[in-house]
Amino acid sequence: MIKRIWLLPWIGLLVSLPAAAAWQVNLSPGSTEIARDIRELHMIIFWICVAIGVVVFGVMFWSIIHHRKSRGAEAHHFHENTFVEILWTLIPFGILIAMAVPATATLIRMYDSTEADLDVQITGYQWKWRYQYLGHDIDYFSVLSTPREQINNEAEKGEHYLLEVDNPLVLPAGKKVRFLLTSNDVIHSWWVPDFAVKKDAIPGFVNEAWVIPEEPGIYRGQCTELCGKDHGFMPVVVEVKPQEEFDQWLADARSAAEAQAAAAEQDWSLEQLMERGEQVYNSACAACHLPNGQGVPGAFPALAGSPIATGDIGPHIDIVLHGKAGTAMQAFGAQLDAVDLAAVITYERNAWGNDTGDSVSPQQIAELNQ
Amino acid sequence: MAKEPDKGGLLKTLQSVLAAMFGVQSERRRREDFSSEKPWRFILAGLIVAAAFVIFVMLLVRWALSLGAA
Repeated sequence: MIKRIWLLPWIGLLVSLPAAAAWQVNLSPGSTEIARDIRELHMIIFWICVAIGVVVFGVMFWSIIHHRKSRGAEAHHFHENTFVEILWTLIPFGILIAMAVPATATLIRMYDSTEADLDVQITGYQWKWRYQYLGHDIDYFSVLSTPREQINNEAEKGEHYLLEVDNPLVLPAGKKVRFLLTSNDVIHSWWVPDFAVKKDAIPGFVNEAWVIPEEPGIYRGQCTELCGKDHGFMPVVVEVKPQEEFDQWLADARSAAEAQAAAAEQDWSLEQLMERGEQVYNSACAACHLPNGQGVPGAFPALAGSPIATGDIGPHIDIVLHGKAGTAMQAFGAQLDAVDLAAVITYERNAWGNDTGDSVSPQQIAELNQ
Repeated sequence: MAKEPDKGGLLKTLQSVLAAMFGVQSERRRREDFSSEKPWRFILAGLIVAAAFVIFVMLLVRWALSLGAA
C-alpha cells in the first residue's frame, strides 16, 4: 500500500482535469489577423517543444530501463565524439532557425504602425485610462463602473465584474488604429487579449501599438503592470462599431463636450451640486478617501472633519485641482470638468457632518483652473 | 609533435577559429593548436571572424526588415 503512494499526485491530476477544461490557460483565440498569427505561432512552437520533449525523454527513459544494472549493463567509457557533438549542435540550431523565420515575419508586422486611419493616445493614470482621439477633439477618462457593493461582497457580483467601465474606448471596425501609449504617474500596461495588444504605458515615453478590429462588439482587458493599490480596478473596455455608427458616436461625443461646456455656464444650486458631487466623489475619490470620507489611516487622510475640507476654501480647491506632490493625491484639474470639480468640492465641504454651507460655482473653478 | 611547424597556416587557423565559435573541436586539433608558439594569429583571426559575424548579423537583420516592409 505504502509503495503506491507515488500514484497519489497522478490521481489528483486526473480528478482535476474536468475542472481544467473550463479554466482557460492558453492564449485567447484572437479576433484580429495578427492575434490569430501569434496564436498559430505559439501553437507551432508549443508542438515543437512537445515533440522534442517526447523524443529526448523517450530516449532517456528507454536507455535507463533497457540498460539497467540488473541486466548486467556495463557503462561504456569514452571521452569525446566529434560527430555526435556536431550533430547535437546543428539540430537545435536548425530548429531555432525554423522557429525564428515565422516569428520574425510576425514581429515585423506587429511593429509596423504606419499608415493608420485613426490615432488614439492612451494615458495610464492611477487608476483609470484616458483616451484622446488625436485630431478629433475628443478626450475622456474611462473609469471602473462596477458598483462598490459588489466589490465589498455586499451584493451579487455581475457578469463583467471588474471588467466594466463608464466610457469604453470606441473604435471603428476594419480601420487601422494606432495607439500612442504613455502614463501620467507610474508604469501601467494596456492589454486586450483578443487584439493581442499588450503594451507598457511609461511616464515620459510614448510606445506604439496598433490594431485593425474586425468584428463589432465589446472587447475586455486589464492593466497588466502592477501600478499600485487599485491595479486590479482599472479595466480596459473597447467597443468596436461599424464605420457609420462610429461616425455617429464621434459626432455625439463632440456635441456632448459642447453641452458640458454650456452646463458650466449655468447656475447650480447647492442641492444640485451636492447630488452631482456625490456621484463624482464615488467614482473619482472614494477609492482612497472611502465613501464615508474616513480615508485609510496612515495612507489616505480622512476628509470628514479634515482641516482642508472644513477650513478656508482656497487650499481645498487648490489641492483638488493641482494634487499634492509626493503623495497619491492627483491633480484632478485635467481629469474632471468644471461642473464636476465644483460639485465634488461642494460635496466634500458639506457631507459627513462637514456642514460648512459653502458652495463653489463651476464659473469660479473655470477661472482658477486655467 | 610539439615542434612541428605550422602547416597550411591560414586555412588551419581559420578552421580552428570557426570550430571554436561553433563550440566543437576534436581533441587532436586542440592539442595541436595549444602547442603552437604563435598565439597571436589565433587572436587576430578570432577578432576578424567575430567582426565578420557581427556584420553578417547586421546584414541579415537589414535583409529581413526589407522583406517585411515589402
